[in-house]
Amino acid sequence: MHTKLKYQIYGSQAILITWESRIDHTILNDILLVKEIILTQHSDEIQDCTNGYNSLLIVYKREVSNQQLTSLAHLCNSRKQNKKSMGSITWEIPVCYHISMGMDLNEFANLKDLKTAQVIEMHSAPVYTVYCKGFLPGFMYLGGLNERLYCDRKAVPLLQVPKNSVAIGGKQTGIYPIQSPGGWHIIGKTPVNLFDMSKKEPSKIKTGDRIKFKVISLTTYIEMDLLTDKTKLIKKID
Amino acid sequence: MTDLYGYIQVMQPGLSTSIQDNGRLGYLSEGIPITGYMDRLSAEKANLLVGNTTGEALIEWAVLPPKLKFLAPTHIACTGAAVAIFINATKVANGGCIYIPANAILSLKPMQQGIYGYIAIKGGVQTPKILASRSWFAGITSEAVFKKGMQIPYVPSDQKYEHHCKLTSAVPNKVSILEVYIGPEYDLLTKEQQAKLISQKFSVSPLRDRMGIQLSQTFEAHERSILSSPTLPGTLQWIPSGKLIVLMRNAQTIGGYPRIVQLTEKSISAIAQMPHDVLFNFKVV
Repeated sequence: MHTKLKYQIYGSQAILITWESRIDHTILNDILLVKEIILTQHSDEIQDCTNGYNSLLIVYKREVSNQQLTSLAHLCNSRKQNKKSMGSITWEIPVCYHISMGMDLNEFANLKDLKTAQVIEMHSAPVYTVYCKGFLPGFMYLGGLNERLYCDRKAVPLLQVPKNSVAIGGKQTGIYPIQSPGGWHIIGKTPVNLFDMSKKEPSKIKTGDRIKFKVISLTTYIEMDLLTDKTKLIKKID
Repeated sequence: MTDLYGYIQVMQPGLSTSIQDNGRLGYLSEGIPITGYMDRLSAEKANLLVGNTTGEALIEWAVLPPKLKFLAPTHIACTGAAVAIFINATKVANGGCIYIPANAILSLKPMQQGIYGYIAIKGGVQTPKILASRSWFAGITSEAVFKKGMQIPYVPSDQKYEHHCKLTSAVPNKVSILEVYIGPEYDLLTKEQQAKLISQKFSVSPLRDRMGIQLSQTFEAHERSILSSPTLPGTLQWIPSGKLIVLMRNAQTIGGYPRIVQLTEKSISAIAQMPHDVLFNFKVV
């Protein structure tokens, strides 16, 4: 048995499905299953489909009716429980935690009463889950940050966080895919281009995938940064 | 050297002037905002007047219009915020489709009515398509707003163009009622709050841009939040301080504030053009 889902018409052209309010792998897994079922059955009618931690939004090309809502609920409620992970891939992303790449690393370590080496160890050890994307184009909401690294956002946001910065804010960690203002603590940088606007699919990493950060030296960073196709630096691992 | 394109030379950029079409559809799951025309009704009217198909890319400006030199002949239409139109310093009537000869300078004088103005060009603006759209957005397209000296490509059109639709009014209708649908978190409001949301008069504050419009009045403070969940242009977010924000075309695609109502497409266009001194009511449909 799975938990009861809530189905709502949102605006005139969208349906929102909401799960119970928790951040949980099993909920994410179920969201991805429902998404796959809907996209398989109704792909021609759908303009866009995206998810939050416990929700799935389906935007249609035309107005949606109450009848459509009922039949969608029926379709989703008859799904078989999903035991295995939905085609999840684990990606290895190289990150340089050198102070020249992570301008807040020392300050952050002081704030948390840790050595910088401990911050690096704690940040690169977990396998993070991509729960959803938003905030900035290509920005991934990652779950799995070590509680010891939870940290309030900076009092004064930086006007220009450099592209590809790896940062911590609140209970979250993430990578800035483009240059942007931001209040998170910058602890490192990846040479990988995670977001390529010239591609039809601008990002290889999908919601539900997992991410492992690999510590690289400044020398390796510089070598990698010189490569022309930096999308190849991101590797699938088992 | 021959060139397929004619170019618009930006002489004065105006305010927040950009290229917009009907939006970057299909990339919400990448966190990419839909963007596109702030006032879709006025923008599509401009496209219609020059014989464009709906959704074509055109020029959008806010409050202060740009001054433009057209290096090749074309036809244009101006809708949205009210303007007096001058071609080479001679005033012309805004009757719909306007012929622009080569090297003509278009200047517009704002008439203090409406916020967003549109200049459609026959055949549409030909700036590059990125992820299936020409809409400018910082971080996606190489440019975000017009700058002096920029060159904007279009396909010239010299032949006489018979336009069949006459312009009744280039300026958007004045409205004092915004129609809305019930939003996903409408039930977080008490019955009294639901009644108050309908009876209270609101107006738009100066805190407005392509991302969102904050309303001047405070509604009611609260401490309800939701797990980050998808949002849409036109979503009314209820901020803990009691402030209300209408998300507009460039809004981020996910948010954690209660989404209490959703503006209809017509209401989104209307609020984009709403002056600060107009009081309006929400009406649930």
